[in-house]
Amino acid sequence: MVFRGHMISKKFIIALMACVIGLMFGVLIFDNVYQCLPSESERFRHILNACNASQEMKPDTVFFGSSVIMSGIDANIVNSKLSINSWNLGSPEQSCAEAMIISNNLPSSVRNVYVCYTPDELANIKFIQIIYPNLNSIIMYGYKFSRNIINVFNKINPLLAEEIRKPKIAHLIKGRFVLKHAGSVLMRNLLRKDLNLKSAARDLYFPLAGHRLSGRKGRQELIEGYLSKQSDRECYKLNKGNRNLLFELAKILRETDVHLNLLILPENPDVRINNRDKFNQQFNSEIDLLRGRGLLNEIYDYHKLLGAEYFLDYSHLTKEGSMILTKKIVADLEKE
Amino acid sequence: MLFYTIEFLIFFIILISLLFIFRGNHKKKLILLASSYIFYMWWNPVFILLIIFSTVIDFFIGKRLEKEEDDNKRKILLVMSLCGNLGMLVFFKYFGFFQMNMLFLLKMFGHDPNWTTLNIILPVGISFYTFQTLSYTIDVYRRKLKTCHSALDFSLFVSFFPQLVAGPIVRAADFLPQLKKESKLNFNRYALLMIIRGVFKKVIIADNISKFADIVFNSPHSWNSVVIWMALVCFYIQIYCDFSGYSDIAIGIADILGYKLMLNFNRPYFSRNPSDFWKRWHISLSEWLRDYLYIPLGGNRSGTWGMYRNLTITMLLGGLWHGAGWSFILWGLLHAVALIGHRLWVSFMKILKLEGLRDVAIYKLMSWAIMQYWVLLTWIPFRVQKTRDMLFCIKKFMFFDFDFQLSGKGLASSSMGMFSVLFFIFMFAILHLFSYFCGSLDKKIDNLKGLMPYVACVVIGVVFFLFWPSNESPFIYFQF
Repeated sequence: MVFRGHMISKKFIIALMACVIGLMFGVLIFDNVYQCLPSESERFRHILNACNASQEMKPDTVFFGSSVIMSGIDANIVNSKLSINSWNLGSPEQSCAEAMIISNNLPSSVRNVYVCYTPDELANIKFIQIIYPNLNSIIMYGYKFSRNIINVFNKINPLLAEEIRKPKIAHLIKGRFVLKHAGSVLMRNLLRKDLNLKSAARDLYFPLAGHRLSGRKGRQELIEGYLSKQSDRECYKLNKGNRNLLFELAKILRETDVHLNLLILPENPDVRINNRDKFNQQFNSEIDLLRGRGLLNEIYDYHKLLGAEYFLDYSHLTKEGSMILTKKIVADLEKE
Repeated sequence: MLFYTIEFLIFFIILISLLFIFRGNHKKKLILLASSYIFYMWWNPVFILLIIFSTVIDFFIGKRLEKEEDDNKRKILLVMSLCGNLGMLVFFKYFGFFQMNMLFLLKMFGHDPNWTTLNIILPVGISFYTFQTLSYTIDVYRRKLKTCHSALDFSLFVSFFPQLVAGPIVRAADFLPQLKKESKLNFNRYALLMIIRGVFKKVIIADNISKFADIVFNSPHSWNSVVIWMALVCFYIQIYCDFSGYSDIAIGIADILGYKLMLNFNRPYFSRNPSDFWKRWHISLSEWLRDYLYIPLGGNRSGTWGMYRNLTITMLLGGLWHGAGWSFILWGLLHAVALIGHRLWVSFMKILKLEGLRDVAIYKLMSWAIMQYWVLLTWIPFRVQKTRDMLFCIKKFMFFDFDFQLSGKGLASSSMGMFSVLFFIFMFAILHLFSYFCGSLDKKIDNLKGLMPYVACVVIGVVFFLFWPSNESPFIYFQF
């Protein structure tokens, strides 16, 4: 075909259109591909599936938190000792903002929610943020967001609210990282025979991948690496946003007659060698501030519960450490 | 402006529309020149002055050379062009390097001159367009080429945007005659497939495996030989796909605009000896160095030692062309050693009358393996600039540590992406082997009958969607 003296081959146009059709086809099929592939954040899929199919299981208590509680609280023991049905819904790097979204999708049988964080996690800015792969998975797997939650994020973390409001196609396009994740999961399954990755993704009671001991030197390196990433260790102070997020979560849950409890997880004494007295003083005053509003049902403070020998690294517990913590939780809940 | 970005797509659509609207070769060339300048200025508007400076110098010197009969005056004109172009290149590219080394030497002898270090920004593509203009002036000086009398044609030859920032280095003899004829846009399927091939190499292969090499080489000391080898293979593939991908896109775009550019790569990783490698890798630079440096130095006609000297000088300068650093000089030196070693080996084979071995399959395979081992080795100084890291990588590469412990190193994490790296290495190997044994895939697709080429295009579209990385990475050769 000749147009104004220039050559335009029909084959060129059809080939170009075919490429565009291919791109569009990719967009169309990708949602289904995403749902099928294993991913590093696939735990969100299993949690949502469990929530949606919980007519028979009817959990009454759930624990939220990061990988520290995944391997730190054995809900099987809690359930057998207290005759309740609790779930450990911790997931890697789960922030309170994520816990808020998951709590919006919980079955109506749930009456008690425990958000479990270490003192550092509680004070960290990440508490009100969601790392992108997790947010992408939350959106792609179809978690519901109530108007209340969006309003809370608008006030506390507008960037997060803006990200959530983006059309699903934008998240779908960004979500192509899941292909790499699938490869990584496959590779990790091959290389890490010492870990039970299936349990870490699917288990609703004790999603434990394994307790890997790094040795004294390795443990020290991990602690040093962790400390080098922490900015101000001299003063302990909760962000206003972190505090408000907890209060807002408590208010939202209260509307459906659910109680929010805060569980401060044990802290490795080695991560706060200096100024421990000053830290304790500031930490207690922050906890008092949280208590003072009366929105949280109960605050369980276990930050001094364990010695350094019960930690695998800066925050994750050894098997013995997790047993002590679980038993302590059982004992405290039994008292109530 | 990167070729595979939305901004380039918009730029290209506007350019094409203007070329459709305006008739006449002169107008079209003006549009192309303006768009080439805009393309370059997108990165840093000020540096367009360097291209204009180079253009003006060589255009007028070319005209004077045509008129001038006196050999001495002609030589002076040539030296003026060399000084202008190479002076600019030396200042922007090598000044910091020379200053740093001078400072080091002075400090060694107890002097501290307390110099202020200039932070000179390296203009994109400066090595490419200075070599291009130099080749014009040298050819006119040698009376191998007629002077270009059209300032517009010459300016467009220097700044033609598809190849401006990363080659191929076009020769005036090949390009200027094309500008005399009225260019016609030529939207053909082969050009499209060429562009797709380039984008696939650059974005899907190179960009997806680059992160692994980056992580390993940025801090290599914690890795064993297996990982160093793997990272090196990644870089080996990355640099080829990155650079040849750019050339493919440039050739495809130029084809659509109605101009032909030379092939810059011809499956260099199938070469079986260093001489073959340089006939397949960055062909436009190899030929430039051959014609304007190696042969003027005496080439093969200077006796055995003279030839080795010429080879060494050419390769050292070739290394230095890539970057101002000792590691690039070492890279050039290693290639020079390989070229000399190969010539010695050929002479040795002749003496022993073993030339017939060359056709034996096992000999071919072994020579390929040795050559690729050497190429891999040479990429270490090219990629790892810190001396301590480079030596460590060379040690781990050459003296395999037989440590196969891979777990617990974070290799399977999504940030390292070992699985995806293996997947893309496998994909590259398959496609490369296919192209070697069956011919290039884009030509095969173009020659398919019926609907098959379009089905292939749909599949390509799906693959692009699935594997297009989220972050853009500039072409490696932009920094040269």
